[in-house]
This record gives sequence, structure tokens and C-alpha cells, in this order.
Amino acid sequence: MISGTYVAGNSCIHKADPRFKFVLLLLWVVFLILPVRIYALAGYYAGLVLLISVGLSFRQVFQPLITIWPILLLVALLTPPFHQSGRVLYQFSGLFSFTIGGVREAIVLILRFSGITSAFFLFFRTTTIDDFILTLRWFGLPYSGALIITIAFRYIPSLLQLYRNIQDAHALRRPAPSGKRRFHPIKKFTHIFPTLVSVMIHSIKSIPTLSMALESRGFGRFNARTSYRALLPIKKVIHQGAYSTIVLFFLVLFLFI
Amino acid sequence: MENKKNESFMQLPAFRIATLAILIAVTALFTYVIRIPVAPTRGYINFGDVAIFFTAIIFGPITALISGGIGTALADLLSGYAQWAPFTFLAHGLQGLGIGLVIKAGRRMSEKTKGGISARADQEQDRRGFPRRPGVVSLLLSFVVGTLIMGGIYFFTGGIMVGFAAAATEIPGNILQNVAGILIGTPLAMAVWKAYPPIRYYTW
Repeated sequence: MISGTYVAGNSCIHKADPRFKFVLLLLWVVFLILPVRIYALAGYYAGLVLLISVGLSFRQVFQPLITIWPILLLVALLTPPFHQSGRVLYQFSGLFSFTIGGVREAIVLILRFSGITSAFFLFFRTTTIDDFILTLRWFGLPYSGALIITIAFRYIPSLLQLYRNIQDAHALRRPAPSGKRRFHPIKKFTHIFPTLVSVMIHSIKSIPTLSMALESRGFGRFNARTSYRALLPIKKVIHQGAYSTIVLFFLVLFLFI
Repeated sequence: MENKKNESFMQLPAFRIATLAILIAVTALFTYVIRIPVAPTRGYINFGDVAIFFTAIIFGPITALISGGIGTALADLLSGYAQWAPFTFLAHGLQGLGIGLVIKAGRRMSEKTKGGISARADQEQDRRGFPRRPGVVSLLLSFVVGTLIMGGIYFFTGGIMVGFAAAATEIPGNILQNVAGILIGTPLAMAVWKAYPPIRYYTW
């Protein structure tokens, strides 16, 4: 869980500086949201397919789509009835019709959402959480902000383990279910509440210990903080800035298609 | 004497950092892991809003803004829905802020109307466990404000990304999520306050 969704690799996208990747991710998303023509959107999505194929593998192109397919299905079904421009393709018993304009709008939304999802997927599959936090720090996130996020990431697995232990302990105190187990949401809620109280109290109890640990490591002093890991100086990765500019040029070029 | 010491403890930056980090981790855990199915076949609600209501009631609006926003965004990031993370940060962060502000305003108003309540009555209320219990009206108002902020932001951003027709289908789920938040978050806050009295020195 601490590593997020990162998949180790040796591709050029894995090796690329996270700062340039982050800026390109944001720009890519902005270009996908802009009201551009359908061909431009298709071009942006094709670019992402190419990058995912290079950075991960071609099979990974479908991975982000698997997670969002219910939304894509809803978009495909619900968008055309609300956009009635253009030639009628099919009419459902006089209630609503599928038109060229409606289908086009649905394709635009599907390409946009698939593109945004794939862009984030590629970024977080090829960038570790550590590098992401260092990137945010480079872009001005205060030290204390980065520290809070890092500690939170460190604590999530511990709290998960704690939650499971407490859940097991509470389950042992309940009588064993007899006969066929029926779905009962209210019972689920009443079973989970004591667990939540225990998890919350255990979590809050760890606050003084954690703050004492931070104090003993010198947190709260006014001298500048050092960092165990740091990104390379920008001068050493300036060539990657040139590559990013080329990609940006193509993104702008697609605007005029 | 012990309590006096604890009261100054909450002003330390290390203590605030630790509190925020733990609450963010708890919010992420409640969002990412704790899910209750609401139908036999599909559909579930997560407990992210429970953690947000809890934080807003106990720790106040600013802590709820930070922990609600970052915690739920981290959960999105970990569960592979990173594209929603910036909007989630905005929606749940502002939701926590809104809920916290309404509850805080409700408490101030009740303190004003209470006027010169005796110290003994205050102690009695404290002994019963939850002197910071928000009123029913402020709770209902906070639910409305939280739902409007969270649902509105998700509807608007979802409308840009997937169209307003598809985004409208998310509205009942968001309302249900907030209902679970207020119905479980408020008793949770009261139970924790009662079971772990030192928590009153953890707030600022």
C-alpha cells in the first residue's frame, strides 16, 4: 500500500524526471478538457496509448478502462438522448432518438474520460509515491505538508492491520452464525460500530507517541530541514525539458487539427 | 495538574503534525478499506464521510478540511482512481470545512443562549461524557451543507468529465454516503469522547 500503484520498470518513462512528468500530466489533462475537435481528442488518447505501450506494455492500455467501464457504459447510454442535433440514426418508439450529434458527444466524453484516467494511470504506474511527494515539495509544498502525507502513508498499513485485528477480536465475541447467512445491512452496521470506536481510540492514542518521536528527531527547530532523498538538480535533467517541450508542441499541434 | 500540562501540549507543531497525519491515515483507511454493501449483488458505501463527520465534530473545521481532503484523495490514489483525486480533495475537504463551520456556529449560538450556566452543571455535563455534543438543528444543517458541497462539486466536475447525464446518476449515492456519515459519525464521536476522555485536550 505504501508504494501506491507503482510498477517497477526500466523504461524511458520510468527514468524520466517526475517534475517534467507531472507538468506534462497536468497539461495533458487540460488539453483533454479543452473543447477541441474529436480528432484532436483521439490524437491525445492515441498518444497516451503509445506512451503506456512504451512505458509498461500494450496490455496495460486496457487496465484503466477495466476500472471505469461502468461509467463509460453509462455515458454511452445516457448522453445521446440529451443531445438531439444532427441526423437521426435510431428512434425508440417516439420517446427519444439516437442522433449523429448525440453519438459524437458520447464519443467525445468517452475519449476525454478514458484519456484523463489513462494519463493518471501512466503517471502513478511509473512514478513512486516518494518521487511524487518530492515533486510536490519542489513545486512549493511546505516541508510540514510533505511530512504529514509521508507519515499518513506510513500509518495506513499499520491502521489496516489494527482494524483487522480488532475486527477479528469482535467477531470472536459474537455467536457463530447458524444456518444460511443472509444479507443484512443493519446488522452489518451494528457489528462494525464497536470496531470503529476501538480503531479510532487506538489511532488517537498513538498521537502523543508520534509527536514525541517527531520532537525527539528535532521537529519544531527553526534550522532548515535536510532530506534523505532528493531529486536531481534541474540543470542535470534539462535535456528532459527539451523532450517535454517536443511533446507539448505535439499537444498544441493537435489543437489545430 | 496533569490536564494543565496536556492543554499546552496541543499547541506544539509536532503535535499538530502528528494529529493531522493520523487523522489523514484514518480517513484514508475508512474510505479505502471499510465498505458496507448496500445491496446483495452490487453497490457499497464507504466510511470516508464517517471519518469526516467525526473529525469535524471533535477537531473542528480546519482539521476536517485538511484530513478530509487529503485522506480521501490518498484513498483514491491508492485504489487506482487517481483521476478523481484532485476533485475528491476539493469535494471532501470543503465538505469537512462546511460541516465543521456549521457545528462550530451551532455551539457558539447554544453557548450564547445558555448564558450564565452554573459551573456545576457544566461539570455534570462533562461527567456524562460529551460536553461538545452538537445540537440536532446544527447536525441537520451540517448534513445539508456537507451534501450540497460534496454532491455539487462531484456533479459539476463529473459533468465536465463524463457529461451531466452520467454525473446525475451519482447523486443518490452521494446523499446515501452523507446519511451514513451523519448517522455513524456522530455516535462515533460521542462514543470516543466518552470512552477516551483525554481526547478533549487533543483539539485546538
